[in-house]
Amino acid sequence: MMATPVDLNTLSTPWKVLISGFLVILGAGYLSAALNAALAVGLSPAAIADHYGNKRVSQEERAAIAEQGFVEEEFSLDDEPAMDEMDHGQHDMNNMEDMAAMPGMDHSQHDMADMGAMQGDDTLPPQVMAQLSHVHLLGFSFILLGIGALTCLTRLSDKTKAILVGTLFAGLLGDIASLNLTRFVTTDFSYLTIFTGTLIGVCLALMSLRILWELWGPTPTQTWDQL
Amino acid sequence: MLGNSLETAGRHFITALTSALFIFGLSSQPALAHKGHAGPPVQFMELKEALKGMLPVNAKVLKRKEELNKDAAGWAKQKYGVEPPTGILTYFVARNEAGQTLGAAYITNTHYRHGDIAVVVGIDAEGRITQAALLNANEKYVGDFAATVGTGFMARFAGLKAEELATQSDDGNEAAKAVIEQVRTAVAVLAALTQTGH
Repeated sequence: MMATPVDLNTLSTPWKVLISGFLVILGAGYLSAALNAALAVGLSPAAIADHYGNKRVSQEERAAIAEQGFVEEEFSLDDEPAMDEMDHGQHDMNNMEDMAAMPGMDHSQHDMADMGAMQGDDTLPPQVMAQLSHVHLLGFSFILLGIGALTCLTRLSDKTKAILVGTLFAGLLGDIASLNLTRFVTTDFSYLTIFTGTLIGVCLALMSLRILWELWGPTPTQTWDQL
Repeated sequence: MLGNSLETAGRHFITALTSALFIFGLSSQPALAHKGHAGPPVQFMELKEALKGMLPVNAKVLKRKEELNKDAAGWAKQKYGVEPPTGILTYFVARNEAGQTLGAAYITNTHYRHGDIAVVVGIDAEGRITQAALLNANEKYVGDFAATVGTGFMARFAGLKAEELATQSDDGNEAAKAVIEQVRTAVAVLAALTQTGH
C-alpha cells in the first residue's frame, strides 16, 4: 500500500473544521434531497414510476399495440373543452417540450405547467429530463470528487477505498440513469432508483463517518505500513 | 514534509473544485436562463375547437395510437421529404358509420427560438388539407406568427394538397418557415398513417 500523502488526524484545526463542515453540509444536503424526493415524488417504486414514467402511452396500450398494431378510443368533440382530455396527437418523444414542466426549474416552466394538462397527462418531456440530468450529474461530479478525495486520504486499505469510491460513482450515475430509463424505457427501472438512492446514502454515511473518525478520533499508533 | 504534501494536495483539490464549478457554471446557466426568454405560452385555440373545424361534421372521431411501420415511414420520407417521427404516434381519425375514413388530424410540435409551438393539421380522405391551426406559441413570439402565418386557423393552408405545400413561401421568415415545416410533417405523417396518397 502506498503511503497516503496526508494524515487526516494530524491536520490543523482549521482544516479539520473545514472538512467536517463539508461533510455535515453534504449529509444535510443528502437528507434534504431525500425529503424533497419524498414530498415531491414519493419514496416507493410505484411513486417514482408514476412521476417519471411515460403516461402518454400506458402499459396496457403498449401491449395492445404490440398485439394488434394500434389502439383507438372514441373522442367526443361535443364535450366542453376539458383540458385534461386534450391529448395532442404526436410522437411521444417530440411533443410540447415544456408543457408539462417540472416545478422549480425556471419561470417559463412554471407558466407552462398550466398548459401541461393539454397533453392529457403530466409525462415529463425530454427537455425536462435533460435539464434534471445535467444539473444533477454536474453536482454529483462535485460530490464524488469532494468526498472521494477525502476518502482516499483515509487510512483504509486501497481496496476498501476503491470499493467505496467506485460504489458511490456507480450509485450517483445509476441514480440519474434509472430516472431516464424509467421515463424512456420502462417504469420497472424505478426499483433501480430506490436501490441507487439508498446506495448513495449508505456510501456517503460510511465515508463521512470514517473521515470524521480519522479527523477527530484517537491518534493512530500504527505506522502506514502496518495498516 | 507533511506540510508540503498537505499544501500540494490542498492546491490540487482546490484546482479540481474550481474547475468543476467553472464547468458547472458554463454548462447549466444558459440552459436555465434561455427558457425564460420566451415568456409564458399563449393558447390561440382549444384542440377540440380546432378539430371541429378540420374534421367532417357528424363523423365519428377516434383517438388512435399506433406506430408507423418502416415502409410507410420510408414512403413518407421519399414522397414528402420529411422524416416522420418514430415511436407510437397519436392522431385523430374521422369515420362514417360504414367505417370509412373521412379525414384525420395530427398535432405536431417543435421549438421556435426559445419556446415551443403546436400545430394541428386536418386532411380529408384524399389527403387534402381541410384546415391547419397554430394552437399556441410563447408570449414573446406571438407577434412573429400573427404577422406572417397568423394564429389559430391559418387559411393559407386550407384546401392544399401536400405537394402544393411546396408553393408556400416563408419569405425568409423564421416563424413562417417553422409553421410550414410542421404542416408538411403533419401531412406526411397523416398520409402515411391513413394510407392516403399511396
